[in-house]
Amino acid sequence: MNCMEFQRELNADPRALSTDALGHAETCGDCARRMVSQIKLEAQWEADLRIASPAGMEERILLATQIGRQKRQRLYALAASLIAGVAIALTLNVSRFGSDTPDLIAMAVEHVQGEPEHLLETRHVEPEVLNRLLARVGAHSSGTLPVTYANACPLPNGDGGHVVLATHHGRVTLMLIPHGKTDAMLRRATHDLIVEVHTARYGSYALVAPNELALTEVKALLARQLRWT
Amino acid sequence: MAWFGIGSGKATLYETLVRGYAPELYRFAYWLCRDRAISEDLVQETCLRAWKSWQNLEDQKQAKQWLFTILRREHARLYERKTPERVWIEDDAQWEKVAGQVDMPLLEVREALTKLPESYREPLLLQVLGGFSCREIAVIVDATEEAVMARVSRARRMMREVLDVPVQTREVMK
Repeated sequence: MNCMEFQRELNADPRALSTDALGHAETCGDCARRMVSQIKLEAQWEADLRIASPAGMEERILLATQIGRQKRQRLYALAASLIAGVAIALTLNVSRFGSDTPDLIAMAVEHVQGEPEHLLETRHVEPEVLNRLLARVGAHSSGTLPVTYANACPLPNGDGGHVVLATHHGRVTLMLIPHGKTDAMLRRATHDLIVEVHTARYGSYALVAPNELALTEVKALLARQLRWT
Repeated sequence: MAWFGIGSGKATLYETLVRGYAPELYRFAYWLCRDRAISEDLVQETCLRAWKSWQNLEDQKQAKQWLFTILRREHARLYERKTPERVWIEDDAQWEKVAGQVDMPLLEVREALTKLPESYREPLLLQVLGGFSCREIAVIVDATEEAVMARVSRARRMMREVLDVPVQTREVMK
């Protein structure tokens, strides 16, 4: 190896010199000095560039991964329970209500099942946004409802509204169904899901709740705060 | 921090990797973008992607290299629209011409580093901070080993030049 080859190797990776290069440095004073100088320089660069990482960064990363994982697990569990709920509800409804009425319950449950992430997220919803949705079924909110999600959504017979309300006993989905009418209140319950469909000024609205207490709390809220046009 | 419960080999290894490499990933990210908040986001995104695509890690011994590769992609994705077109200078004569046009004031190591073209800064950082060989860097940056050797060599020459040149002599390369 000559000095030029040594220098090329030194510049490419001074910490991983080949046996040939090290042998050359033993016999060439200039290259030995270059090597020592470059290795010192590398150490200085490394020290100068060694900035501290933010405190707690690793914990935040692990937490973020854990939350993502748990959220997925909760979604899977929710979807599984809703599928079971749909199956049971559909079976019961078809046998008792004929061909029209059970569709509203099934529609509401299927919609919630299809978008389970809305049960977990929390968004700020402006009152006017909520009222625009409520207006579709002829309602108006006169106060503040604990809304965590609200958006328009496509339903089989036209657009409706998908609203999620927080209660002390779990979140309840309020489906606004302007194009689906029911003459009487419909209700179906399984051990982990309760669905009620009520008549609205235009069409109907459905409540999909995880338990009786949550449903009762939402119904009381709506009774206090909804005004019908 | 108890994590994911007992018996999850994947989770245990993941936690070890995060704790072991996150600071190095952060330093690499920082010297790429020079923004602490973005750097942490990049490291977090890198780790989350690693978790999601765990099946792509064929050899656990390659985990560090794999993480740096992901971070580099994340950085590129982040700056996809902002980053000007890269000019790869592989020819020595062309390099000397470019280097000759560059006036450099006396700069500290950190400042000097940030003035290097990204195509030189990146492999140099991977070697100095990451401790990777040219061959490993070639895999990370998707280039040949020879190209990486050329880039880190030029980066070192340029750094030495910048740090040794007296004040008022040269302007910084934009």
